[in-house]
Amino acid sequence: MVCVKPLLLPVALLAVAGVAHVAAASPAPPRPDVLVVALDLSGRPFQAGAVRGREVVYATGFEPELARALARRLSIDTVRFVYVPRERLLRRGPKPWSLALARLQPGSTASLRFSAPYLEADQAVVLRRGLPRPRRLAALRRLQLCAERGSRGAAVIASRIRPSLRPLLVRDAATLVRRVQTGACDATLVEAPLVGSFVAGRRDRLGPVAGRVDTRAGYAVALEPGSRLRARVDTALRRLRADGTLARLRRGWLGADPNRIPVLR
Amino acid sequence: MATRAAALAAVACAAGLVAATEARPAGLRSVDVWFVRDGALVSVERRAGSISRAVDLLLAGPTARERRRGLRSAVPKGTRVHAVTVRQRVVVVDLASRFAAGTEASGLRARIGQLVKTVAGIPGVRGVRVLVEGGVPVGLFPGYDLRRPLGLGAVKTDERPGLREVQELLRDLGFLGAGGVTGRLDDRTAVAVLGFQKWAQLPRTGVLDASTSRALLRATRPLPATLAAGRRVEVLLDRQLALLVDGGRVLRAVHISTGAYNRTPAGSFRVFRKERMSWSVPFSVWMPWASYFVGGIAFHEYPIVPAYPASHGCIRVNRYDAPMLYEFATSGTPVQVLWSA
Repeated sequence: MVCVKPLLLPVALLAVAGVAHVAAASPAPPRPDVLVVALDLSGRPFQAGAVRGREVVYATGFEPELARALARRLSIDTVRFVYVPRERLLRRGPKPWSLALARLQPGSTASLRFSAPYLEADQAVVLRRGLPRPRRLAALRRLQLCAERGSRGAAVIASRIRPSLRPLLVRDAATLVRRVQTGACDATLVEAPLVGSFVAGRRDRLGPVAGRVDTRAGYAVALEPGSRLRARVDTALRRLRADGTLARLRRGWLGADPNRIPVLR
Repeated sequence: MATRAAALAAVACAAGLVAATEARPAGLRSVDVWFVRDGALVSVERRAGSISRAVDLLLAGPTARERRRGLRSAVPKGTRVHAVTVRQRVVVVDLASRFAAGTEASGLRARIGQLVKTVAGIPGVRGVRVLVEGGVPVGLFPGYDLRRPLGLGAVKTDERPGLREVQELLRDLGFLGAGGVTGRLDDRTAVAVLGFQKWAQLPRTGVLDASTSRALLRATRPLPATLAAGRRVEVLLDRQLALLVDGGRVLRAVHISTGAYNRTPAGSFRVFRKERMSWSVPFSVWMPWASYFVGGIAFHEYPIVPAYPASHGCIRVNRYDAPMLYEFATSGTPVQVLWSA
């Protein structure tokens, strides 16, 4: 007992100093050393990688690069990527990550909170070859439209375009290209930020991009409800937009600026 | 801690998970290493005594002489290999991230094709598992699911689509009926290929060769030769095809053979008589699915439908499409026989 007493004072002093340090730093939340980012690895050019267990040992694409840029803005040195399948991202429950980048739209789930959008989620209309270019959204209603099953393009066809012919829903992008190429479809809807890479190398199989359907939605960074990072992520995104980083990343990974495609009204 | 590690190692050994670090198939002296020329995979022979050596030779790329012959490698220069191991005849190749560099889908697909064909082509190898930085690639190589080992049959190239894809293309273009997508190379597919070759003005062989595959990947659905509303049959004498048209759209393009020495007259006609089984008096032969449109000249099924005009004037229709054409060409359906499309 006698031996313990001299040790107690320094320990107590250290504890008080620690609390004082935290108090001095408030109201800003403590900075994490590592930013843990959840990816669903939906594929190039948005995100792809190599996975060992849950750890993404190699990540590439627009969203991993955006995560790295965000981390720099947040003054966090290390970014750790973890693989979380999309359905698990949307599920309720504990979130063993700081933020998620998986082309999620604000309001898509109640179990997450969202930052300001980092990318528009409009849909571009790609025509088959030889088809006159429609000038208005209404002109699309008379066409045989196609989209990937379960995609946002399919949802936009149903909710915004409402065509007179039942849209053709196909299993994958390769089938989609084939259907437009062979004329089984007059036009297809593709994510506007992706349209550059969709038509690249397929100029002889596909017609022109007729325009885009403004969905008034965007993709945002997902965070856990109550996350103290949210305001800082919003600020960081604003700065990345202002200093041109976001535009540079989009140009580098996704190609041409989708905002230059005319909107079909 | 050491005890725990030893126990884990023992369990791994017992489960047969510890891999051989080097694979030297008995008697292996040379391997086919695969590169790319004009979008197609081509092989060159190399001396190699082990699978690791074969991978090294692949990563080294074509020689200067081979490059002059047009050979290229889709694998980025300077790609390093971390490890090559074998587990139950499946070769696991762990590569540095440089292997996944780049964004062009065809190049990314081609490098997987090169690797799989080089390694899986070695006798005794059942499949290839590709790892990047020790991890399973997800979404890195478009069109490939690398969570499982790949065999030779899994290799895709842009220029040579798989058989099922060919059949789907032929169906979408109108040369093959919906039931013809079987994934098997059958006579019905050969007939559809022949029909497509006629339309694309390729050599009429019925064989799915490289030039036919390439043309299929760029083809669009045939367009009617004439503008008119309603249902009609257009017979193209130069291409030896019948186009079944409805509402300005070609529903089907059918491989046919018309009269030799221009015995099938050009002009506009209408189907006026239909017989499920018709007896040809002058030639003493049964003609199933007959639709007469001028005099004694009819569309009908015939067992031999060559790629050139061969009949006495009738239009021979292949056995796969004859019942469908018979159903389509109802009495009164216009038939336009044209010299060219």
